[in-house]
Amino acid sequence: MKQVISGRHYVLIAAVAIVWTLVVVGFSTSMGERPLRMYDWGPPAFAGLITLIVMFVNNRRQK
Amino acid sequence: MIKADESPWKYLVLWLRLYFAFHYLKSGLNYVIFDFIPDFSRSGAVGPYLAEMTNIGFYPLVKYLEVILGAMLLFNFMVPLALIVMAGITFQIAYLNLVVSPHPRQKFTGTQELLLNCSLLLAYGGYYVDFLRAKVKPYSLWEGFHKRSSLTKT
Repeated sequence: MKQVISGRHYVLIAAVAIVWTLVVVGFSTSMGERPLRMYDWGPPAFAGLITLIVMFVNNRRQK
Repeated sequence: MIKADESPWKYLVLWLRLYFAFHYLKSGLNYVIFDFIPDFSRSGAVGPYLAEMTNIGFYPLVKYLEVILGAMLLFNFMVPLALIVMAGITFQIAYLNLVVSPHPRQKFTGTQELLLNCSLLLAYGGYYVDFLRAKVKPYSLWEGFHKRSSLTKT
């Protein structure tokens, strides 16, 4: 079954990834008291980036 | 009905799966590659428990398990099984961070573990439906495999 990936879907995934990454940054730095490390913000950010790439590739394949 | 295999939910689940995979891999590989063990002396009431886990070799075991489970999630290999095993680790982390040593940062960590694991268990929950039968008869693993292979042949 063809699944349409619209612009709204990209926005939803990007928004969820960005918002949660910011939440993680806030708590992992204890609101600015500790240094920021890729160890903390890396997983949600890279997962979001890879997901968007997969969405783009799948969308291209369906066209 | 929301279907987990349709966009955008399918990609939200993908994000969750990759996030949890990277989360486990970074924690496990930090020990496996760099031999990093946190300083438990500053961990409050949780410190002695984690220190003893390290002394008896259980902490390293969990770290190697994290690498295996993270890889399973990353490569989409036996995800339902991995999530069940991860639930045990998640429960421990959540209990320690939310009940035993509830520092604000740990409250977030414990909550995040629960959210990630429970969301993924729901997303893949269709595979667990048979676990929720109230009354069952014994049904061995090999009978189940045999039945599955007969169904796929027809």
